[in-house]
Amino acid sequence: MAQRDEKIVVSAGAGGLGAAIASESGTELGSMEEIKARGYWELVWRRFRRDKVAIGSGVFIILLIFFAFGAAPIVKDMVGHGPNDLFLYAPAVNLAGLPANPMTHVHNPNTGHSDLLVLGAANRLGQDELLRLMYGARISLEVAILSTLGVMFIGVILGSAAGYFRGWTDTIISRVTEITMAFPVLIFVISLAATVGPQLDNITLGVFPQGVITLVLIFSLFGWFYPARIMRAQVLSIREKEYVEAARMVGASDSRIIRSHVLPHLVAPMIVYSTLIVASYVLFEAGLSFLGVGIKFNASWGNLLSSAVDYYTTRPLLMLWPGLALMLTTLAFNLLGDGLRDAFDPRASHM
Amino acid sequence: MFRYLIRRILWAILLFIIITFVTFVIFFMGPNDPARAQCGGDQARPACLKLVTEHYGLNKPLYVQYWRFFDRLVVHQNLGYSYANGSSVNQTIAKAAPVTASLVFGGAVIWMMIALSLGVYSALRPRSLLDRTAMVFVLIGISAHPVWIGLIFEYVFGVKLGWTPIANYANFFGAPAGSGLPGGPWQWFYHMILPWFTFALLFAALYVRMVRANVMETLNEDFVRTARAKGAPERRILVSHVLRNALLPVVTMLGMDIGVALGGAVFTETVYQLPGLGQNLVVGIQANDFATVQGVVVFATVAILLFNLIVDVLYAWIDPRIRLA
Repeated sequence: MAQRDEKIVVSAGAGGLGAAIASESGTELGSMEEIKARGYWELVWRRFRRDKVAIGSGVFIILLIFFAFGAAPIVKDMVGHGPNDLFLYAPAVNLAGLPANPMTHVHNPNTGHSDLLVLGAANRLGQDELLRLMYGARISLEVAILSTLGVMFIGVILGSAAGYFRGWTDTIISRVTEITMAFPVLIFVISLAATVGPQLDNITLGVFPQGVITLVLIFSLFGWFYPARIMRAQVLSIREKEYVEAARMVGASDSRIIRSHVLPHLVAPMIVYSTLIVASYVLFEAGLSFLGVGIKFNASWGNLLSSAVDYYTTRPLLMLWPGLALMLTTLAFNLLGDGLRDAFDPRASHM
Repeated sequence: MFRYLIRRILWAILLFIIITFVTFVIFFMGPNDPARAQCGGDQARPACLKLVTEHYGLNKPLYVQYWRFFDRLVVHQNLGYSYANGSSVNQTIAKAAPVTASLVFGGAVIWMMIALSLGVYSALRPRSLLDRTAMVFVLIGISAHPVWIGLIFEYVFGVKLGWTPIANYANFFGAPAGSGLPGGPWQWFYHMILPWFTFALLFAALYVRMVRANVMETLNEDFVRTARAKGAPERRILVSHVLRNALLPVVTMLGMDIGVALGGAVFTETVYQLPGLGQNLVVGIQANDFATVQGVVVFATVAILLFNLIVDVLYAWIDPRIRLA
């Protein structure tokens, strides 16, 4: 590995000095290897590549995305029913109200075929646990990634404006940030989801399941202050650097300085921070759905956990699947975030 | 100090006004018509609706209604009456708050115990087996959902091993007479063990990480080297040079995080069916009893505000650098 890192990059015919001399003199100088400086992103990628744990997490996340968006509809076609289809009678739900065990065959009244519940039924309604897990992954990822985008969008704009312009812009934005921070986030998120949630649930933009947009809006409303603070601190230090001063001196406008001298330096902290908060929004979504104020009818890992509570002495596997899925997903995003941070900033210690 | 105190109190009052206003607006926008809820839902008689609307001023503009709400809250300390059964929200909260307080403060004791022991030991012996175990603990702690941890604990320790009760609360000062419920300090402790650990796990994990990093950083400081050079015994270096400096920021964080952690109590209380503020919040939401929900939200927020205020003032008193900043 170390050997490969030391390898000199050969660029044949790049028209550099070596090639020019070679064509002129025709001597063996022509075979001289040219040394190319490594770019910033190449260095980051080289450091990241050495981190096996982070690579593993990245692969897991890609597989999960495939599993949620690609494989779920295929499995749905294979088993012959959807994640929300009900199987109210035996054997999907027995007389005591217990959901079926794994590998139970049930009669599907819509198609007349005998369908297989691979992981058994999820609840008293006899819904398919496997399909609900897969479609739950979809909801988790949609909510977590969209919320992260929303939070970062607001946070970066407000934070960099406050840090760059300072003065009254900074005062106003910082005060609003402090006020937002004083709110106990979880309690307000729960009460907002409970009161305005039902009114927002019908916004789906045609692609998202009911409730996703609600959660994204609520999370964005109460989550932007933290990235805003981070970005403000970053921009405050960047704007005092010599190259920004030089740019200002040659007459570059504010928007040009922000675009080409400030924002590029924010990319690394933005990527690292986004990866880490995706993990917390996965947990947040599951928590709200568990309490019954998040995703209501559609499958979500939080819903699966809350229905598993009813059978945790009799069907302990039902709480194992969604809990494990949640933990692995969160763990993967956390480890990937740690790996990215180390790759972007090798001086920062791992923990 | 006096100026700092005044500034801090004025800021807390401003926050109180803003937060109660936002709370009011959130519930004002809610789908629930309070008049309809009090008159028995869909079968409400028009006469009753009219009476309640007049009585509570529900047809008045938003700011008038907010003023009435604020007045009732501040002057009479009255959080209103449940839409579901008409009981006083103040009484509900008086019953629920001790449960949540014992969960949060007991949990905080456990999370600090775990964080200090694991964090300090793993910082002193980096890359040892214990350090690696601590890292795994941190990763699981920040990745596993508290609800799931709670269910697993219940299943393993309560159902399979039978060591602990699986749910419910026991009053510290003895159960109400004739209720047949368990009570007394021992039962209270016995019922709270699992909830405490469940509640503590996430923050214990975050704090192990923080304590470890702080102690490792302090170990590299010049004053530690000086102390070693002067021949101070290792124990003394650790206790009075390293831990003293490494733990001050941890204690500061603890004061801020207890308020944050109060929100997490919702999950623990729901899983273990502890009749605390969080459970009242969830039950209130399910029953469309928004008077109780609003009461709990206002109470919890004010409690956190007050707690933060007290913590801030205490720190400023202990550490003069803060109040001069």
